[in-house]
Order: sequence, then structure tokens, then C-alpha cells
Amino acid sequence: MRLGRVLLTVALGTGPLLAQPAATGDARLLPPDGFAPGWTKTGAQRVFASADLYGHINGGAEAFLELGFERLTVQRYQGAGGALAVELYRMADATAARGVYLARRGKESRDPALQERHTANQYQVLLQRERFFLTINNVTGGGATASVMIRAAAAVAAQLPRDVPVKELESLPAAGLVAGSERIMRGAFGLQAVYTLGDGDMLQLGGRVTAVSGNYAGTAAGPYTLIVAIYPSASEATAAFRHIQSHLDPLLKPASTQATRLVFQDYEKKYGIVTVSGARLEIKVRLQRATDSP
Amino acid sequence: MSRPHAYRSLRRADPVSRREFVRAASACTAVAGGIVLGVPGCTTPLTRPKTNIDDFMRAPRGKHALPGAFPGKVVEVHDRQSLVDGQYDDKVVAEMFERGVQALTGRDMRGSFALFFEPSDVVGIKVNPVGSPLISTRVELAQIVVGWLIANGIPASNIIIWDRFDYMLRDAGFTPDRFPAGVGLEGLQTMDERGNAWRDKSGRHVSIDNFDQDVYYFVKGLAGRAPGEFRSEEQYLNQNVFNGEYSYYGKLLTQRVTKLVNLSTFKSTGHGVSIATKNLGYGAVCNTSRLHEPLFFDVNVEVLAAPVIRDKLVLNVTDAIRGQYDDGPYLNAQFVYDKHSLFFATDPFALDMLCHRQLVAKRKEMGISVNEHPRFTEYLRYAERLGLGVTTPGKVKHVKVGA
Repeated sequence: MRLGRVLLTVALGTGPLLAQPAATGDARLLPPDGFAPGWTKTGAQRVFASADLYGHINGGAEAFLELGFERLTVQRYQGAGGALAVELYRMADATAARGVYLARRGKESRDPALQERHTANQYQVLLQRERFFLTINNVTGGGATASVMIRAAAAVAAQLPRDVPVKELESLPAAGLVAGSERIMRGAFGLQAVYTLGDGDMLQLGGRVTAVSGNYAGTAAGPYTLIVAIYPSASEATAAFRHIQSHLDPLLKPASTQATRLVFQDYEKKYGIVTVSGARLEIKVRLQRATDSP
Repeated sequence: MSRPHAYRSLRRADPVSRREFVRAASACTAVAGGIVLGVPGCTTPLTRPKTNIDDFMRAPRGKHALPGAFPGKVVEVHDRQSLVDGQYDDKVVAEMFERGVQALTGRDMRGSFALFFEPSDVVGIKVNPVGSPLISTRVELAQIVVGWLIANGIPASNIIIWDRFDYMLRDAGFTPDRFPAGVGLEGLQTMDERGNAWRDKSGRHVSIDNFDQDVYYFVKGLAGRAPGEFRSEEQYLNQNVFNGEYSYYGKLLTQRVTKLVNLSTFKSTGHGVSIATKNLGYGAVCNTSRLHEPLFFDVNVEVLAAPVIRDKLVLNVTDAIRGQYDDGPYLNAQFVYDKHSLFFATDPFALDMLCHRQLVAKRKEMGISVNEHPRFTEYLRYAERLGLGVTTPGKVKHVKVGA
């Protein structure tokens, strides 16, 4: 009975959250009817705010929400022999959009008709420009629809603002960086994709601090993965360092720990080194030796 | 009431709270929608909630109990002609199926049938419809299995193709016109992707009666929606039917089918895999969204340990004609590739282990970030400790058939 009353309170208390998804989307940015001969919109445009995103992308919403998500506009199109689903994500900023793109692009396969950052195959086009991340899915799977997807992507890209550089990525040294390995993270979900330091938001990013990572090869230190976070202040960086020290995954065994440097050995007998210097927190993992110098 | 299985879960500790909540929640008018399943939480807590796994393990084991007739054995049949320029060759796939079954059992198709089934069986074929049109279980593979069963004397009316969600089956092409008359197509539950049509006039979820409240997976202290995943309990109930500490098994499993065939797909979920065990672990019971974060892949072990699955699951076939090596279990075509394989096993945990290693290798080959923390395969070692499977790499026997 007690549980029932508690849950009743919860249920009634969520009333305002149960409103319809935000009605105002980015319809003006989507391909118009006739963007390709015979292709028109089908069904109503759907718009998802952050509270509704779980209802649309099937468990993958966290990746968007953590980086910074504003809204998603979805529209289906139908034409000769096929159908397309166009999804335009308006992210909080260009860094967030790039983060989503980098995590999902795989090996880029470019189409000469598109100038923007993109990858395309018979079934899907992914494109990122400024704060927008675009996906176009070939719903029916037919090969004839591939060229129509490119036209749809070009139509959207033409409406998007000019792209801007993602400055956080400049924290990654260029020498030895494996092309295509860059990642952007603002919380636990993003970090987990790269390495398991422990449970939860180990870097204390909180959705407001951006960390970047990349794989390195061909260096004197051997292959490794570098994670860099620049915090608003040195004290926040130090707090994050201490959080890692005190919450390190049980399978990561500290080899030495100091005020600004932590060395551990992981489950593959490889090493990790965490250092903090001012506002910069740097983590190298998968090192062959317990030192990052040759 | 007699049931086709001997095991019955212990009585619930709080038999009234759940139903009271359903009524209470109906006081809210709501738009609920969407589906949140499939991707395990990104962390595993250090404190593990208590479950009723011990009850499952105390129940006497049946004749076909996991890991089945061939512990640790996994057959992979490979044929590059199965998929050429995006076009499946169903005849080639049918031949691959026969080669795989026979390599697994060492018998011909009739003898293999007799090893797993009796003509009086009611066979449930679990498919994975998530990710159509590229990485869902192919309808044609289910057709092949249905044809095999019927050819050996099981009436079409005793074959049921099923998934947890009815609408997903339809979306993936599992419709009556694709199968012989009489073959059933059933979802354990429905949900309304866009609204609140999942309630009947009294406010109950229309699928409540599809679940057996006497047979359940229990997780102590874990009730209600997972923090952050759902914007409301209303949305949670739409997708999960119940929201208490109990995840009930579908009546289809507890009261109707006597044997199970598991037709899974070959894809990642986070840094683990969504292949044989997850297809049933998160597909056979309701109220699963609460389980992702705290129990991670252990659900794949413990739900399968219940006698209603453990003693009925006789054959696992993984459709790996195509695979997806990253960003699963939902379709991301960037990571879909032609693999040209079918996998066969009675032991779903050995199958998961082998496929996990293959997916990791594929991810490395493609330059994808790979997190090999042991937490992503710990459930497989757990299954071996429980005697449900053989997963130690050196003990898993990988039999390759074809080029």
C-alpha cells in the first residue's frame, strides 16, 4: 500500500512532463517536396525535445543528451520505389554535433556531391555542419534510393549555417594521432566508449566540460590512447584527478600515486598514467610501459 | 492449474502494490511513447541487487537443459554466395542451414529433428526484429526453420514465431502471408509508440494478461523506471507493462510452447554483444528497462536460467549473413557488413563468447575504439560457473564449415 501511494505521487507529479513533443521543429531546413523528381513528404513532421528523445532513438538517446541536445525533427519522404527517413538533430553547439558525428561515422565514405563533413553508403548518409547532425536512412533498403539520399542531404546542407572549428580537438597533439580515432565526450557515456576508468562520470565532466580523446601510433611510447580535458579552473581539474584516484575501477591497480600523477596497471597488464597540470587533465592508457617517455 | 513445466516461482512478497500502481498511474492523462531497450547501462554498480537465481538453479534440470546436447560447441557455416551485391540467395542460405544443423549434431536433418523435438511439441521461434531491413532476423531464415519442423511432423498450428513486441514483428516483415497457414505470429506485448492506446477502458495495460504472474524474474529493491531513461512512469508502463520488482515471463513460454528455437542476429550492443542470450534475456520477460543499469548482461544469464527457458531452448541459430560491429543493437548502416555466416549451437553462451571475439576482432580491423574491460564478458563466465554454458575460450569448440 505504501509503495502504491508513493508511486501515485510520482505519477501525478509528472503531469507537466507528459505534454506533446515540442511542435516547433526545423522543418524549414528539411528538403521540400520535389527535392528530387517524384519525391514528397509523407506523414506528419515529428519533433522531439530532450525529454522525448528516448522515445525515438531506442536507447541511444544518452549519447545525444550528454553532449548537449536541443531538438530533433523527423520527416519521412516517399518516391519511386522507396522511402527515406530524414532526421535533423539540432545540438547545443558545434562541438556536440561533431561529437555525435565522430562516434557514429565509422570509416568515412564520401560522395563527391557533398562538400560537408559526411559519410554515405547505400543505406545511410550522416552529415555534420555547425550544430546540426543529419541522418538520412534508406528505409526500404533499395539501391536505387541511394542517389536520392545524396540529393536530400545536399538540400539540407544548403540551408545550414557555416561550419566552425571545434577548438577542443586542438588539445590532441597532431604527431602520431591515428586519423579518425578522435572522440568528444562530456560525461560517463562518452568516456565508456573509450575506456573504463570506473563507474559514472569519472572525469567529472557533468555535461559542461568537454574532453577529447584519440589513439596514437608510431610514437616512441608505442600505441596508446590519450584523453585530455581542459577544465574551467585548476581546482576543478584537481578535483577530477582526485575523483579518479578514489574511484578507480577495481581491475585497475594503482602502481604509484602522487599529488598530481597516478600510474595504474590494467587487466591486460598495460599501464595508464593520469596527470593534472593547472586546468589540464591528461590520461594515457594502454601504454606498454609505466612511463610515457621513450 | 497444470502447466507444461514443473517449476513455479515463489510467491511474490507484495502482491498488491503493482496493480495499485497501474490504477494510480491511470489517473494521469499522458502521451507516452517510444521504446528504450537493448543498450545496457554504461556502468555496473559494485553492489549487485539480489535476484531469485537460486530458485531457478534449485529446480530440477530437464532433459534438454542448457547447455544442451553440445556444450561449448559452435558451428559456423560460411558461404560468400549467400549475399552478393546486396541480394540474398535464399537457396544458398537454406543449404547453409542444413549443413550447420548436421555439423552440430552429426546426424541428418531427420535425425537432428528427433534429437531436439517430438511431433507433439509446440515450438516457439524467437526472432530479433530490431534493425530491419538490414540486421534483423531474416524472414527467410524463419521460413526455413518452419519448413524443417513441418516436414518432420509438427503441425503448422503448433509453431509460433514470436518476439516481445508485436509491432516490431510486423515492421520486420513477419506477417502471416509469409508463412504457411496456421503458423502463429505473436508479440508478448504491444505498446503504443505515440500515445496511450495501450490501456483498456479500465486503465490496465492491454498486455497484462499475456504475462504469467506466477513465473518471474525477481530483483529485490529494483522497481519502477530507471532514473533518467523515462520521462514518466506512464511511458515506462507503456513499454514494460509492469513496473515492480518482478519481470514476468510471457505465458507463451510458461504455458504453451514446449520447445524454443532462438534465431538471433549478429551485432554489438555497447561494448558487448546482442546475439543469442540477449535475444531471450531481454525478450522473454516484461519490465526489463529497470534491469539495464544495475544488472547489465547478467540478465542474459539469469532469465535464461529459469526452467521455462533453460529446459526448452534446444537450438540457437545466429543470422550473421550480415553483421553490425558498432553502435548496435539498433541499426547504424555505417557499421553493417556482409559476413556471410550462420552460427549453430545448443549452448547460447558459447555462441555469445565466440561471436564476441569475432566482433572485437572486426572492430579492431575497422579502427573502431574497443573497450575490452572484462565487465562486458563477465556474464559469460558467470553462466559457466552456473553450469549453463561453456565459455572459457580454450574450451569453446569452433567448427568451421565452408570457405
